[in-house]
Amino acid sequence: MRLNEKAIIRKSILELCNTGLPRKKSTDDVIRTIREKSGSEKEGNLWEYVVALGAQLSRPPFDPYREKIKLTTKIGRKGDQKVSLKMPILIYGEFDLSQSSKDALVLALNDLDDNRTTVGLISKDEPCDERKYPHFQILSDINKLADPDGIVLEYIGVKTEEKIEKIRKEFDGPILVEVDEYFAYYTAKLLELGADGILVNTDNIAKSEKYKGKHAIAIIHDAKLAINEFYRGKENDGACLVVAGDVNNAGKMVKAAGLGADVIGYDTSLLIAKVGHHSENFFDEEITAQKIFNHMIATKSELTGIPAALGYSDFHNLSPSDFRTSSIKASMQGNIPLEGVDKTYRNIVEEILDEYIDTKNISIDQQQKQKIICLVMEEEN
Amino acid sequence: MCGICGLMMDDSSLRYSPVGSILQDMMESQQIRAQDGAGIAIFDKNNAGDSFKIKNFRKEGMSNYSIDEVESSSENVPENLEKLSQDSECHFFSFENEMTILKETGLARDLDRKFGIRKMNGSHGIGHLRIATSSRVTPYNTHPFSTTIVPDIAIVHNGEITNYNMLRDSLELEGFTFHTDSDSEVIAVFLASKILKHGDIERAHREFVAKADGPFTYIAATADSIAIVRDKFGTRKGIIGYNPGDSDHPPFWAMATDLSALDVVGATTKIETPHPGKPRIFYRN
Amino acid sequence: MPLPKDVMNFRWDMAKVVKTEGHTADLKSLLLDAQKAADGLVPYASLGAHSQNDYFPNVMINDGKINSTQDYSDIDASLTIGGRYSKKIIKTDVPFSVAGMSYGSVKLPAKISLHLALNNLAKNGIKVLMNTGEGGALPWEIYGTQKSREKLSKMHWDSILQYTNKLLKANHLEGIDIDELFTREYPLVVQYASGRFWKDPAYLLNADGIEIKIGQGAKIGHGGILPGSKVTELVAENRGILAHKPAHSPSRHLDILGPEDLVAKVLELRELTNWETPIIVKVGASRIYDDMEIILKSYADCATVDGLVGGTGAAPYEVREDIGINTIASLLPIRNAINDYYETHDKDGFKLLVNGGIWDSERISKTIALGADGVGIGTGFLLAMGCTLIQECHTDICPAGITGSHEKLDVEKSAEGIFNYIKATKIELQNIAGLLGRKKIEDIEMTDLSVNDLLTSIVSELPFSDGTNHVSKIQSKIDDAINALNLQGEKI
Repeated sequence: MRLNEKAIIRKSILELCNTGLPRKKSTDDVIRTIREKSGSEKEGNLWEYVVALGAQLSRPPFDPYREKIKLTTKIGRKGDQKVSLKMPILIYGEFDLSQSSKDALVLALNDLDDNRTTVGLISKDEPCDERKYPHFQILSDINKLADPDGIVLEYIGVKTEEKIEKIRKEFDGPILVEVDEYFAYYTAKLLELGADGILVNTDNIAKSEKYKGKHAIAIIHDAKLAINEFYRGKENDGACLVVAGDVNNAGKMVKAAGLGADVIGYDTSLLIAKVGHHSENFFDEEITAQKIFNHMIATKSELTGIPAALGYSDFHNLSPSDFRTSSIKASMQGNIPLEGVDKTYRNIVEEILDEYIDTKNISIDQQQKQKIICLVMEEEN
Repeated sequence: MCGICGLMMDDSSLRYSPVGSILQDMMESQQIRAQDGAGIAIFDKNNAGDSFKIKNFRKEGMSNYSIDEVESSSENVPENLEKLSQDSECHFFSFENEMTILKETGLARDLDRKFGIRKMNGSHGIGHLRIATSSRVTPYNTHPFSTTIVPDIAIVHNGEITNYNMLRDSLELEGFTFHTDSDSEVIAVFLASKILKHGDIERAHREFVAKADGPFTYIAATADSIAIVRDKFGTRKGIIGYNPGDSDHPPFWAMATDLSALDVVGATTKIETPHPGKPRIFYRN
Repeated sequence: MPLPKDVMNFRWDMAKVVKTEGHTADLKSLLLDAQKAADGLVPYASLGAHSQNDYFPNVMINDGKINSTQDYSDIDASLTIGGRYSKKIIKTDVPFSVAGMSYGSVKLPAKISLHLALNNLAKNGIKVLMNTGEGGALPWEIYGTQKSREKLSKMHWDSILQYTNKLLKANHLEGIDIDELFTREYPLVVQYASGRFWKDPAYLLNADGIEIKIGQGAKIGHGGILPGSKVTELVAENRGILAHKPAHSPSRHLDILGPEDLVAKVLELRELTNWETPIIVKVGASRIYDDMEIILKSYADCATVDGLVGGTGAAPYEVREDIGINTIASLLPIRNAINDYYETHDKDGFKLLVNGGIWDSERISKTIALGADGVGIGTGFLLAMGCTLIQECHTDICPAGITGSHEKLDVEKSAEGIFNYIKATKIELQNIAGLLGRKKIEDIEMTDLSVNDLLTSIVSELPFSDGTNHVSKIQSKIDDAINALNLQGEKI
């Protein structure tokens, strides 16, 4: 039930309980009237319309108490230079942190590594000497390369491609490129030059003209497609897709992983570091570090429990076939089958079009067919 | 949901080796478990040579299927495989050199009546009884599964490969072809793709166990090996035994889902349960 | 909200920072983050998922109304379960039942209210099916009939009485008459869940039906949970577990790993109950076509399917929200699975119960029209007892006193509310069927329904009220597209 409809449902049922007699209107009548009045209601976040298929009889669920569920993630395409994480998470975000917040974060990340919950950090700063976790340095000036475990470059055109060629010769660790909305055109080139993966910030890309009105679902789907196209006819050597932005809870992370994300760029730890703990006007680093630590441990349990409930012993085995949606938009943007019918909206339109072409006995070529399908789908946007 | 079985003769001279008869006994003893389909794959060195068979099921009418066989030499095999992929009425099911696959819907004894399984000799073989749960009861959905990638691979499988879609997408992207919607087929295609890459079947099994998810036990046979493999948690059963041989037949290793199948064929010594996640492989002498 | 003040404050601080950065603060999400930061534990949630789209309000019953001046009390509202393989049959007078809500998850006064109400209804000619939930049964549920007490030794009966008196005393219900309490006039289905929370074999042997719980809509693939704070000594004694420690059921029956294991389990229970007791298999709505096929082949008499929004006493928040499909959406694959099975088998009395977000006569009718034989209602009965839907059942705070012990539930008032709720719902159902010209509730069918939006039409295969359906709607979009693209399309 929707949050704002609880009162309606309650009132309606209580009427039955108080009178023992039929009501004038059913709950669905009232709900329908209210929804019609509020017009094209504000949709929730499109992620809320995506669900996962749980395991029961046709496949058994795993039990995290009995079977070890793997979350380990390797970033990098060359065997010995991969960065190894115990969770599919790189801390990444645009919160401005004070030095004490940063210190709290380092404390927490080291603690997590001690507790076999290693996550990585993406940051403009130079890597910290006392760190036990992998640090990905965001590099704008090649000369400022410190000694990180990985590098993140921002895509700014051909210059970035030159940078990759240069850095690839000197740096063995994984190189990730944060891409813009035109990633479909150059991802293959980046991977050919030796980049180990791309990073899509869905919040930023969703603001662009190309993805206006679209959701993170569309961006992740397209990014995965771009990487898959590079691997057509080749053996997959593990270029990874890092997804950041609208993926800040375990549910969204799992759904993003299903659509193709290999690693999540996660910013809530930065938010906690920033808000921190204030006691009598000073920032308590240790308590803040504890909060970051607790939060990540809880997230780990969530990320272990959901794949197990879907029948997987490895987080990275989630795939698009495990998800369904109750929204035509989400179906179109992520090629996700609609729940129950198990077909995407595109499949349904294509089937109806095929029959239409048959019954009306007309001849339409493949290209025209695709144009018709696109136009029909546009209407639902 | 299924019963699987396999055996490997332990005698290099391969005097009278009634592989078909022993497999048939093992299958009939497990019949109560599954009644939707039965199939075997038997390997006989005498079939080796430059002759390859590509077998398909061809649909005739509402629900009948006939078997098509195309013989090729190693030269025209690729051409014939290409022709097959163009024919939408055909469902590929076997690519054979030393191997023979026979499978059909219905009971094991009906399979014997139709094809004379009990009369077949060889060095090793595998068998399967099917109860359908997630795809239609048709002959091409029965095990064993083979592949057009390399000849003489057959697998039988009990359980679910839960990340089947992901493995299939990845293999298709690499360029390998699938011919059915059954998750079991991915075992054959995966193993074949690894054999093409590095030729080491034992390593291929280990790679599959590492990559695949879900509860499964499978038995896979190539021209010179047979292996029983359980998933890393050992969620599905599997058991191996040895028959020391007598005047009727050489000694042999047998493997199956149920101990009862080993009992029925006298493979009651050296009983062992394959370790979860560790392929147990037997090579032809 | 019953959360520590510093957790609440931390959440507001986070919201402030997020807003300053120019984003909208998702308060619900930040609250869960604040909780996780405080205790490092997976946050729990209860009742049902907040499904954005549960389709029910988009489905209309064409000419059926819940209100009528005519008397339709002759219309047959009964439901039978069993007979496919079981010797006995459960007969009820309404096509809806009380869905499983366990003692422990729900407090004793609520269980007693349901018990008294259902007894009262049975006396008034309305037998309603009750489900124990997965936490075992209460003594008067197992031994509520004369027959069930016949073979009891004095020692056993004394210990049952002792426990009963402890229960009543702890809940200030000593006024209840023991003889009246140990009367069960309504049929009872006991749940056979993975936790196996019972000690007395009579739990299975005295039941009118056994429901093998494989899963439920709120936490598909995840085991049941009763938080430690709710495992009181009395609850622990009833279940045979340790008090004050959280009770986690395994996510699967340890002896059911695949379809053939389910067959073995059903046959085992049949042998145990002499092939008399109807066996039901319950699953959440997920890979439902395949799961239904397995249930149909497993010798069960009936299946229960629980949709995404089915409620729970406690589940991890993300598991509740994100796993499972909506009730209406699941009915299409279920119909397909049943139709495909009966293409090659004779009809044999298999029944289907559907739960998940169904609480009034209209929703019951829609579900029955779309293929169910009956439904299970959970949240509806909680509402009847005064539930305010704050969804904190996993804690001890419940403003109505149903799932928490801080407030006191008025047992008499609740029992009366439940009585009225069931009585009125039956009348409404009969009105709907009567106005549609049907003789039985079960005869309400898909032709009596229509939808008002494209997605619901696709998912339910129901037409719009003007007779068009999603196919014709999309065809007309195709017409528009062809015109817009100026494609002449040569006729062949």
